Amino acid sequence: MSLDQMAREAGAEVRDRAAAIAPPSAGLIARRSRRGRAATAMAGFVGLAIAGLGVGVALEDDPAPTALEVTGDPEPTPLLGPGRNGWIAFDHDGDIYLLRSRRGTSEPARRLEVEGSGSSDDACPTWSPDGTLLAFGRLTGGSDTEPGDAELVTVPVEPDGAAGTPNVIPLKGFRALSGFDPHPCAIWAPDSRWVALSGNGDVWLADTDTGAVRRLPDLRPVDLDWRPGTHELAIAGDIGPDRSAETSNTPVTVYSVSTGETRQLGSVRAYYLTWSPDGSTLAYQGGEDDNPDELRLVDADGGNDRLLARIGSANHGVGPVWSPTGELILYQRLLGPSGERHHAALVDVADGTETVIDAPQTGGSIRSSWWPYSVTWSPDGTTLLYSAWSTTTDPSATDTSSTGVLAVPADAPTNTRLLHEGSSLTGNVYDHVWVPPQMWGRRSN
Amino acid sequence: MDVVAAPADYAPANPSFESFFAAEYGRVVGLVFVLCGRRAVAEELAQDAFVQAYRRWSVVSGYDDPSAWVRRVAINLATSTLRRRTREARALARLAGRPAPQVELTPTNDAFWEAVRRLPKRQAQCVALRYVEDRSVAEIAAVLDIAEATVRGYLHEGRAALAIALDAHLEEEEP
Repeated sequence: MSLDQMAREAGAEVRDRAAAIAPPSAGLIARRSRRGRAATAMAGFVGLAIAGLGVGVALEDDPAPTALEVTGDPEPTPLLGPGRNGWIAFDHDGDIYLLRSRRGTSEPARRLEVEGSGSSDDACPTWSPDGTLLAFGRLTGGSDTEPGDAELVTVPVEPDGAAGTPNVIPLKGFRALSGFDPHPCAIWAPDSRWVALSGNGDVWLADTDTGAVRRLPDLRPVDLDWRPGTHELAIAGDIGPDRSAETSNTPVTVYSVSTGETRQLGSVRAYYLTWSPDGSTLAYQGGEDDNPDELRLVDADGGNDRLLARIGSANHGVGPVWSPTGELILYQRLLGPSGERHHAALVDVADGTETVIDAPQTGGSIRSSWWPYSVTWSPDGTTLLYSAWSTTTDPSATDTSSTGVLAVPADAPTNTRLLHEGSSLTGNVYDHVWVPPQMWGRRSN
Repeated sequence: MDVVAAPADYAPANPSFESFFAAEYGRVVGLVFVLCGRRAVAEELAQDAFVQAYRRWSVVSGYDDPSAWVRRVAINLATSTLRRRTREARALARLAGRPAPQVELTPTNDAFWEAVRRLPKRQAQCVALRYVEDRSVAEIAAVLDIAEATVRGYLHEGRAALAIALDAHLEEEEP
């Protein structure tokens, strides 16, 4: 097809569709003229309807994109309290591995045998809230200079660790922002059906039951978190076009995957956020002055915004993560003004008091100190799961860098267990900072 | 899109503006949409352009082609990223409570318009005016307030870039 033919057809299509637009009343123009161009204030809870793709939501797998189907009043999703600690999933050199954290045993990690994994590059595994499904990002057909095609894979995993038939959702056109890990890294919704991820600067949403994909464009979020018990996704931050760009906080957008509606959460401005396990409260890092030191709380309706603690800043990690028990909020903090060494710390939600967890140590006479890339919770809320790198006291060591997965009891961090040691783990310095992977699932036998 | 009822105190002081607005609104939205890719933003920008026309209607209505003037304003508004983001926020607010638009603007060949949006601004504007509105070089020059030779240059460069980006055969340019 010639360019002119393509262009004429494309232009005619837009022309025809535009001709069908019924204009608003000219009175609207008159009113706006009288009112001037003052921006509409969006204080408090404001319900916004973007049904019908008014802000460019695209249905990737629908050949004739139509208005977003409103599915009616969503059924509430169950609130899952603290669970039992099951399989831990992590990635290593392009494969997914499972292991269990059990005292008294030294069971090695096992590679997850999933159709298609042999020729692909898999990473960022994350368990569904009900513990039955594992999602991970897959790249295929890549080269040294191109990451390849992106897919989201979900696979049922039995309590014995056996993988069932995978479901593969192509993510056509997916690209991570420049400088970040290229894998699509998802975060599960409370219904264990929808997932959200960030690619190309857009928020991508995928229905793992139907394979439908949606995109909310141009948000470049720093953080995403699903509100427990609902179909709502909170979106915050603007990470800029690439890793070198300045990150800024933004109003928090709450998007409903079932109705397509968005709302802005009060006057909150944030770039990291985490919901309480009962979905009633949002903890966020940010604030009006773009201050990274404040950890604040706000009710789900956007009201009662208050300071919880001052927590410093980080250049790794997934931001604050609320514990499954609801009592503590975990975060990472840089030790100094620069560098990569972080501590994990716990903030008591009741009073804002803080407990700093010194770098976990392993080894005998020669000790290794572990510094977190990212830290998340076990399902029962007792243990922190570190994806970390180490430094060693061994004066003869020529290679002082190692990475590992560690289980660190929240109330007894000296009882750290090194679960796996190796390279190329999820949560390295190039990871997506907005995706807190739920690496620890709820099921195992 | 639902027609918003006029306020009780609105009297059509400018019936000619009303008919002009009714005739041109959809076309301006379509033109801006291909340049910015966002339906809500396109509507917001189009309405802003018509607000300016409304305020100056006594003058604009006397132009040879008021529609060209409105398009120039809308296109200029669309080129400012900062303004676009501000309008995006306002657009979301204005859509509050409104039911879903009935007309979907996203074309089936959105890849073409995505490629257009990646062109330098003036090239994209000339291509959009050429193929969405089927305007001649002279008319495009009038809308953008630039020389006709300049328009021909932008169209030539824009078409060449699109042919490469879309792997399409480039025919000899039409007059």
